[in-house]
Amino acid sequence: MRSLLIINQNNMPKNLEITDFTNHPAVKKCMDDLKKQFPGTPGKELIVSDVLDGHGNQYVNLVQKGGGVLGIALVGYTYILEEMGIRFLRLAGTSAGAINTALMTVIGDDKTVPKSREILKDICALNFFDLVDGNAAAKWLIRTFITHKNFSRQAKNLVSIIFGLLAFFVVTDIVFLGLQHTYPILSIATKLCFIITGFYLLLLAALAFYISTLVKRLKESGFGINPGDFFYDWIKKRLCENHVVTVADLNKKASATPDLHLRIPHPHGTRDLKGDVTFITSELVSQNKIEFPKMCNLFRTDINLLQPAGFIRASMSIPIFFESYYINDIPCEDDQIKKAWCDTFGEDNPPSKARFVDGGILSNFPISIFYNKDVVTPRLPSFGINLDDSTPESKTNDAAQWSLFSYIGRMFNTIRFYYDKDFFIKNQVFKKGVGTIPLAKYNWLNFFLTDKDKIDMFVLGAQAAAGFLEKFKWEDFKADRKVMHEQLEAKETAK
Amino acid sequence: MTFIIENSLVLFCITFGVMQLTSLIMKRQEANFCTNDGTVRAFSIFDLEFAANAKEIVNLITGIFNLPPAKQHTSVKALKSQLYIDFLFMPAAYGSIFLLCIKTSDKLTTHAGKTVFLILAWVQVLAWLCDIIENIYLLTKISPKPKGSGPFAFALYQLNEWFKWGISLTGAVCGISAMLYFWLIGSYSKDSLLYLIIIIAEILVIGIAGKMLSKKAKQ
Repeated sequence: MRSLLIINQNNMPKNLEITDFTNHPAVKKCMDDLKKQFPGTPGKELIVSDVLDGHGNQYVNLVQKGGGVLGIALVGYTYILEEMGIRFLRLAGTSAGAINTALMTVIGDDKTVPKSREILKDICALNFFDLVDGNAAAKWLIRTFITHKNFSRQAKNLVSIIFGLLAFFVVTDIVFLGLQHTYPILSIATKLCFIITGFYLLLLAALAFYISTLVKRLKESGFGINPGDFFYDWIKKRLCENHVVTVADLNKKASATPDLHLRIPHPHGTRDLKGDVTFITSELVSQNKIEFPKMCNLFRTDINLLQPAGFIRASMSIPIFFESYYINDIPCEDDQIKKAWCDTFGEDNPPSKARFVDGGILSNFPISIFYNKDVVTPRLPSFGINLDDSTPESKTNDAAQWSLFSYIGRMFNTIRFYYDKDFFIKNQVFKKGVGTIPLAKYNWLNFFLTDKDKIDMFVLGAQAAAGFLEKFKWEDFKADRKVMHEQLEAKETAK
Repeated sequence: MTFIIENSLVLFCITFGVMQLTSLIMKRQEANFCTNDGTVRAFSIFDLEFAANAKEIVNLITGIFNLPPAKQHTSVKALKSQLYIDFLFMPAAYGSIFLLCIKTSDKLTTHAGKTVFLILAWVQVLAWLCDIIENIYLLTKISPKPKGSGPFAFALYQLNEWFKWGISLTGAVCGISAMLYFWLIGSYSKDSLLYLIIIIAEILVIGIAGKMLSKKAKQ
């Protein structure tokens, strides 16, 4: 196995190997348990789909949820699926899910080959802290904020100390200034106090000036602390290494489908089974959810002028944390562009510039991407990988006692999660294809993961996948989907 | 016109100390102020003093009686006793401002200055009267079904608050600023340093006691 040189946060070289993940006892146990439950003998095979390739691999569609650095757990999940002979026809993802989705799409020459090991190699060779590519003060602030649980209290204490000291110096100035009239010898102390106060005020002024330049820089960078250039260059390099330079290359790789056949006959056969890839992002100028590369035609008449790496960069542009991703100079007067906007969104005036932020603010778990209401009996399921970092306390917290920050955060999450949640409420059957990885003890913005954290998250992903496969019943899924279709039809007829 | 009080600094130390002590007691009592006007929450005396409208006072007090019996009893007792202790706080507070302004008047050499500070001193009596009216008004409101005041009565209540706070804060700020000026130009006697130390000691002792009591209450 190739040994990978990783620089950890203390700048000490460390070797992290793929086998540290795949040979972890918990991961091996998952595989052993699955092999025991599904030895492959008749009646004891793992059946998750009716679509197979020549090697006997089963095909599913896959949606991967966003979740910052929690994306490593996604790799653990897909690793187990691939080891159990599952492959992916259509892929979609948001944010961290988009990163994994992109790599799964471009790595290798065809879909029959497992991708997770290569992805593991890429992701673990990446020093996550390099993604935090803002200035030194921003890096320090983010690192301190993420790694110290009581950062807010510490920050408040620091501010109190600063102003407390200022008050102390001013009071001593006044005291000595008054006392020196009665005790002239104290005039020395008075002068000293004033000098110290002067220096302290100078320090505070310098600090205030530095903070104001940082704020000004933040404003000029569109309110993004980190430019996100390192990530863009990294993903672009990964794509190029796998011969994806243009959007056409990306589409070609995504749609490359091996010869497929069906386990049981189906009226539609396999003729319309084609691979594709979707990255979800949020566009703020027109206030729309954008699906790349499908909606490239909204921004350029020649879609190959757009950068595929930009789609993933756009999908993971966490607001404030990263700068937004822009597409400038949209030929909004061009008839082709106008028609595209009108057909897609019913909008007559396309913007000349687009500003993208993380797709997660609109659809962090876009399972509805693969929903087709006309499907009676599916040929293959849509699997989803859910990253759950909620804590038990967050569900039982006294709502009347929330801080302002918690209150705003809850409002934001209620709004942004509801689009996907609403789909699940109305289409409960899709929940059966979703596996959840519990990640409560991890912070999704903690870019300072230790090697142990990475391995642990991979293991949690693997365990979640194993648990999912043990419970998933393809025949039940198909039956429920059929019932759902019948119910929908009945509702429409009743209207 | 000169108005001289013998041993004014001694008197000031006493009134200031009593003001600090009663203030501490009232702050401890305020920790038990609780209401249930939609949600169970703490409130302060300022919510009653600076209510946006008469209904707000009614809702706040009704909310106290919506609490479970034990909490209701504690909250009502705390509110009533704070208002009663306030009757002890008043002479100490307004007396302190009065003495401060009288002392300042005494130290000033110009007639205009002396007169201004004499007026500021004596007008504290008016502020005291406003405070008494406020307390009586609030005490009459404390019942399970408080009656809301009409718009005119509530407007008078608000005006009463403005007078009380306006007069007392003006007197205090002007007096303290003047004393600070005298300190900076050295216009004070060596003997008065002792009283300054006493006042600072009172502030520190009461401050530390207050912090210790809140820490104990949190535990």
